[in-house]
Amino acid sequence: MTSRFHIQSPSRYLLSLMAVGAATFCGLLVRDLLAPTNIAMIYLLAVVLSATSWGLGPSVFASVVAVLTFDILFVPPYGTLAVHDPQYFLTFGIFLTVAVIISQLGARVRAQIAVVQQREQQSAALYALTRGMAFVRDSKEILDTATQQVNQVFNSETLLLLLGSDQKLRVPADRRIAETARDAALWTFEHKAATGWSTRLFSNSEYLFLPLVTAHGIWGVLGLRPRAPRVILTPDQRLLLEMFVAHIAIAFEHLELNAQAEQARLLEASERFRNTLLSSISHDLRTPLAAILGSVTSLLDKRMPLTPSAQQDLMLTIEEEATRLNRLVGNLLNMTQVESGALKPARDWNSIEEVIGSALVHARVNGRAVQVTVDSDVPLVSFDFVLIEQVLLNLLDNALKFSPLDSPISIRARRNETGVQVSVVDCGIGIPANESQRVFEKFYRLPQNGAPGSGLGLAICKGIVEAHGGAIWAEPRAGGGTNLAFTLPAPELKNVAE
Amino acid sequence: MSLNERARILVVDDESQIRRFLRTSLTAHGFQVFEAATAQAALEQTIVIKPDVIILDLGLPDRDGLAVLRELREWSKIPVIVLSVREREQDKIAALDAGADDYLTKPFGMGELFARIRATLRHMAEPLDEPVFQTGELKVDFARRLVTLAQREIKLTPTEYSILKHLVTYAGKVVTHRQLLRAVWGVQYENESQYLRVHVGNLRRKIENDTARPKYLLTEPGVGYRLRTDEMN
Repeated sequence: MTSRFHIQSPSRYLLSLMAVGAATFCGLLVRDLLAPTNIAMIYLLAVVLSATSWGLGPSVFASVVAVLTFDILFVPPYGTLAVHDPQYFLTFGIFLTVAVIISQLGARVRAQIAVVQQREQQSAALYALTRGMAFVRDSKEILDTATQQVNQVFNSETLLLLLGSDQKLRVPADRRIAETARDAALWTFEHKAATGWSTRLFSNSEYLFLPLVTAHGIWGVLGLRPRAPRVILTPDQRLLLEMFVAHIAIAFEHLELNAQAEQARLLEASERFRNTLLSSISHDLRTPLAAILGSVTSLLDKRMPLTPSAQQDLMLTIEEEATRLNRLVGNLLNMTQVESGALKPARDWNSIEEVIGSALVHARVNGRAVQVTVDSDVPLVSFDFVLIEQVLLNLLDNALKFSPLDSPISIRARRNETGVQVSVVDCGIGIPANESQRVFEKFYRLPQNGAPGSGLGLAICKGIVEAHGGAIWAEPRAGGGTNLAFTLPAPELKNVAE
Repeated sequence: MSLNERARILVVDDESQIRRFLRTSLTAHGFQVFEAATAQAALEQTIVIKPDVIILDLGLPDRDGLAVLRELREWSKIPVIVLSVREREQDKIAALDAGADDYLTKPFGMGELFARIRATLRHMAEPLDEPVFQTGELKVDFARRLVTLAQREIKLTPTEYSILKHLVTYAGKVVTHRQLLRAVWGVQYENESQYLRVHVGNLRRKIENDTARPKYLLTEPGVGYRLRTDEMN
């Protein structure tokens, strides 16, 4: 720790001698004014100073020197150890007793202060380390924070060797470590025990190696090399260092456990996705297939002649169901892309009006009235035409499905602060306020609705819009129905000259 | 239509059920149908039977359809319509750039396929010699540089006229953004797609009654534009 607790013994004795000298000087100044016994009190001051400042040894030393000096200089006959008046022996005895008791008390106070200060420093250092560790997000940050804290507190060079993915100790390539140090580190790693400098094993290594162990295993090895030559590690420092090491090891363990938990969460999510996908495929794919197969077998059945209109009906069913099947497969593919993060919009400058028009061509509007309003100040926006058309198709599909056949649907595009906002509004059954978030979850379907669907359409919309940096939401339309709206950001609106 | 009577069509697809239904439908419409299941067979058949149109699947067992297309284009201008399950725009553009005349994604309706076949056949038969082109109520008189909609003259800027003229040249067929940019603005502008969006928007405002539901100038999502012809209805 800091150097002021480690003044070498000889200089402490010298200092106490100087204190006695100062007392002697003061005594000589007032020798003619005071009785010798009062001058002894001045010497007591020097002993108290020695006891509180330099410890028991110097203090006792100062007491003895003080008695001798007092005898020679202040007790007649002057200049010798001889004493004429025997009552001075009582003075000497009491003086010595008092001086030794004061020495002991002073030294104890001093030692207690030292312990308290050291504890304070230790807890400050530990606090700094744990606070630093509380904010780390990866092993690089643990490494940096720990190295910095240890170096600062122990005035050392720190080496953190971590576990590699092969469960072996990884030695950084950018540092040259002596062969002995390397062996010491490996021994520490294997036996989970300290080696190197200031230990009995590999003691010629310039590093002290300590294992980073927790209940769950070993995470690496901390190597510490003092910057100053020929220093020693006090037991307190050693204890503090071990506490540091324990904290660092726990930080690594936390990181690992968090990563495992995250991994498990992702695995569970993808498992859930796959299960829902499978049940969706088996149900939603089989329904149209059943309709197609049923229609075709009726058409082929020669024992049961059908009227031309019945034949037409069945053939229309086949067409509709095959189209539906194709859309479903497309949705499943899109959802898989969104889910796996493979959705990368191929952006290009495009016209909102054009993409709405294209969606209207491909949507199965079935003669429903769809009113389109595109404000004249809507700029070109950079987006993936096919993906945004898919969003509009799904929103339109939704509006068509959940509103009465004779009710109007409107699409409105207008400029907003950040880009363009497109709304698809219907006058249908509406979405309850508490469901307005959940409708964008995959496989979610409104509980009361009986309409067919995979529950993927809006989830895909959300994935696509968010991949463009936009937002999508559902809100009730005033007077009943739903407004499904999304935004496309246009950070730099492009002006086109002829 | 007299021009596609007995026209010879080579169907190249490794899936026998696709060949079967194409053969049935195309024969019923009066075409002469030939089949090939591999790239090798397709190239051999092309030399022997000299088809009028090739319908080409991209996923062939021995070679990629795009490679076949490129090789074919080295020595032949026979119209090729690509039929594929690859539905990404990049795949469509790649096929069109490699020399395909048109592109259809599986699954498709037969009506669409017939329209594409007719458009390519007509284009081969009469490479825009006619001085007047008409679709619906839209009429373009090249000799007089006059465009009318329901007998009313429409004033187009030189750029708009140039776009329309290029689309008429390939009427019924898809024209990619890049092809249009190159033809109208020049090669150095082939990536300036915003020019095209703005001018197509203006052109639509003049020739379409409802710009959100274009009747003539159709959008091919992510790929390009197509001018509707009467036979597509």
